[in-house]
Amino acid sequence: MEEHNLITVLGWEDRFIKGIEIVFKEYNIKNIILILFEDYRTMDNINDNLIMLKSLAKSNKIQLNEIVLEYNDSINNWKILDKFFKENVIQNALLNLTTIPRETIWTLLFYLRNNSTLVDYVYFKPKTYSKGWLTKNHKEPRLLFKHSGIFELEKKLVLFVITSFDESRLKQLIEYYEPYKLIVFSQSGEQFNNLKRNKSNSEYFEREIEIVEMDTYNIELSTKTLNYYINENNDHNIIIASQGPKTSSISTYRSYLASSKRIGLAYVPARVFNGKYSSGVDDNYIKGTINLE
Amino acid sequence: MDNPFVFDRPNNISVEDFIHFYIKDNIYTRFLESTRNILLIGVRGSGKTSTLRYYSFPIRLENPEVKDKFSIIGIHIPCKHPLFGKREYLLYEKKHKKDVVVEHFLCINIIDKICDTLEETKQSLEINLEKEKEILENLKFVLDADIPNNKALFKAIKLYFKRELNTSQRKLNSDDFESFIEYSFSFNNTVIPFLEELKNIPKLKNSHFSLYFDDIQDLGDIHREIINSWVAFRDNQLFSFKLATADIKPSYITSTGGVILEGHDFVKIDLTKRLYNKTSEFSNFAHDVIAKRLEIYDIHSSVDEFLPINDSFRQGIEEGKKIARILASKKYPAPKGTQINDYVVKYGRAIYFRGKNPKSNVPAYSGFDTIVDVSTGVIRNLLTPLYFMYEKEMSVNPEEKVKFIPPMVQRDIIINRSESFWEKIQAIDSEIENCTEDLLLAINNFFNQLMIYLKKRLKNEEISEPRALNFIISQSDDLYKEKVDQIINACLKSTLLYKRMVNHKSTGEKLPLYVPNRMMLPAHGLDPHGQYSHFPITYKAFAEAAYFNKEIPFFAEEDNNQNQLELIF
Repeated sequence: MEEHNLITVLGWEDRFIKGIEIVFKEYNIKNIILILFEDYRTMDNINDNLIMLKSLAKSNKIQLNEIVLEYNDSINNWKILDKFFKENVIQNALLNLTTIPRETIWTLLFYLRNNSTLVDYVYFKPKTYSKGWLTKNHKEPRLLFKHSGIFELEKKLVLFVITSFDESRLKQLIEYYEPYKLIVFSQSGEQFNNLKRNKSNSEYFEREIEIVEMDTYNIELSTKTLNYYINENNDHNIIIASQGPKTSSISTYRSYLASSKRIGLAYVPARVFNGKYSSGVDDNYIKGTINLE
Repeated sequence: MDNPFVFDRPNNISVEDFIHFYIKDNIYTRFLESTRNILLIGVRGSGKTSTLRYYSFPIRLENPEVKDKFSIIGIHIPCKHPLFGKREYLLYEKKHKKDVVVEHFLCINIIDKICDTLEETKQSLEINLEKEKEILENLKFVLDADIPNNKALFKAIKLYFKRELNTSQRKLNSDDFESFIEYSFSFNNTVIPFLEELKNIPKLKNSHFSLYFDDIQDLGDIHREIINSWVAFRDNQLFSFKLATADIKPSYITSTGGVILEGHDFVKIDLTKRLYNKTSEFSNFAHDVIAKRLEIYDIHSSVDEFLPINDSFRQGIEEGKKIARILASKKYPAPKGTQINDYVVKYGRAIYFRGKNPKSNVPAYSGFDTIVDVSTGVIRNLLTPLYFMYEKEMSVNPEEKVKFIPPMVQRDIIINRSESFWEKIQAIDSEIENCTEDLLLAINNFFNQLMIYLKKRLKNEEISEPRALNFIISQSDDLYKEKVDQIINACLKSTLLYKRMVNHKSTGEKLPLYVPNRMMLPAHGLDPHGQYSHFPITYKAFAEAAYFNKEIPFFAEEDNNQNQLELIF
């Protein structure tokens, strides 16, 4: 079996450690690059998960390298990852998307692409999400470093948002960018009671709005859908914010590359996460290979 | 049929429509037409963009009121563009490098907007081909730029800067972004030579360029520092800046760490002064705005005919006044001067509103004055409910022209907007950066307690100003100040509160007066009309209301007019 370098972010949810156990069974992991966000460390269970991960790594004779970042310091995070990837050539990467913030997924894809255009990934869905809030206290949206697009002054802005259950993040994006047009990509199907949760999205926007249903777990199809709408709106500046399932970060990144890097990738950071964000792990995890050509 | 009260962004309206719709506010003219640097402060929706656009060159050119069209060339420069959300400059270690990148994009934007303005108005400039060629050659030489020859002057310059913008963004996103530094445009090396060259156009020989930066609160700190550095140039012969911001505390720091000084470097104009005027200045302005829109849309109704007051609402208030007159006669058996009338003015409306239960017996909020009251002196707040009223009425009779808004439609929309406003307060954390759960709860507690307090005032028969809505915060207390200031700043930013600086008449002390957004009042059955008065809330009481949901103490005897305030202009 091919050896992999597992890249993962230490999480506090059940699915983090359960997912790692599955990864160790299904893949031949040679090395773990563990990203620790210092400001996550106060979350319940996170230290238990770290102890368990270290123990699992030890018993499986897997080397573990830690990279310490701070969720609230995007500038320094970029510099730390820049330095790491300049000093270390990472090939055969396996990205565990499950607990990596979307901004960090994009950053990792940017650096991994320097060494290989093919990156493997896994994603573990939870059994259930929290019924209440998932994140709170959001900061202003921001464009990702080096992925801020190529904008033209006379073009109007179209904002693409792949929605999540967090309506307040959508509202914040609209208020911050005041786009000329909004295209909302909402998760098709009724998983996690999506329809009810996403119902009120359009109430926030009085200008032109288009709502597109998309299965964000299907990366190929959602990339094609995004590319179609990017081409349709070619005469506008485009910013895309992915807030849906983590797999949507992959589609947005591929669409970003397909657009010749003209579109900007935006992220709305949260300061407060619900400790009970999710529970359990779905037996049917998602895996695949990302083509970053 | 279009809705006459649509509040579109003023940038999206044609020159012709803009001149039609815009109601000029004469008091700013001498500042905005001057060659001085101006800082225009106004909350969201207070008309900053319209004001700047009114003085921009394309509008002045078509405006019959403007006699000397070429004396001031106003260039409207909106700052809300994703280009200014780029953050790569933050990756540079050295401050001056960050400045270089930011200044580069600001300069390209300025030149692009100058070209747009002059292209749009090119006919009026009467430039012949020979002159165009001469200017183009000069610019190519001075800027060392390969501006294309095969295009008209301003289109060629725009095209050149478009290419440079594209190239510089690619450079910034690439690995060798250090190379960017040697390559950039600055105000001194690009914008000033460009403006100087434009003076070779005979029509612009004696012109002054007024650069109107709109919504600078949307720019980053470094962007604002650089613009402030430009404001610090005190030679305003060739150009000046008019900066519009919704920032309640704009920064005056320059990129070299200095500060720009009010009076020396710029003059400040505060558009929010309408919020506490005793005079009906805003009411007159609002009347003109509505009347003009009715006229443009061929609706032959006066403003009062278009917005009739509900009979029971009017009669109820009249009844309240009658009762007040009877009470006054008893209180002042031998009245002096205007004692009776003053009493009626103070208590008449309060008597009506006291008898109303917001759940079962909602006042029929209606009429022009009520709509002006709930707007809190902000033009967007005036037009939005009117827009929804018109839409609702149009949905009932789509084929017929709306000649008036029935009072009950007015009431329904006002109540609906007020309830929506409370929903906004409940989720205000999504509008405020770094709003913690505690802060969200504190804001909600405070406004809930404020409503309870206002109801107590309204019902109290002893105090002199039962309908006062505005407040000052008194008895500064180190223990609570930081917490209270945090709440106040968040409320100002999200327009739950507005602020005016006032003078304490007896002490001369300058202090902020807080004006609650009056849209929150109808859902609680309160009177949005208010009184030209205020009440104090101590820092301690404010903090306890916010953080412990404690009632704001109400002492009728404290409430007298010894704390008279006057506006600072």
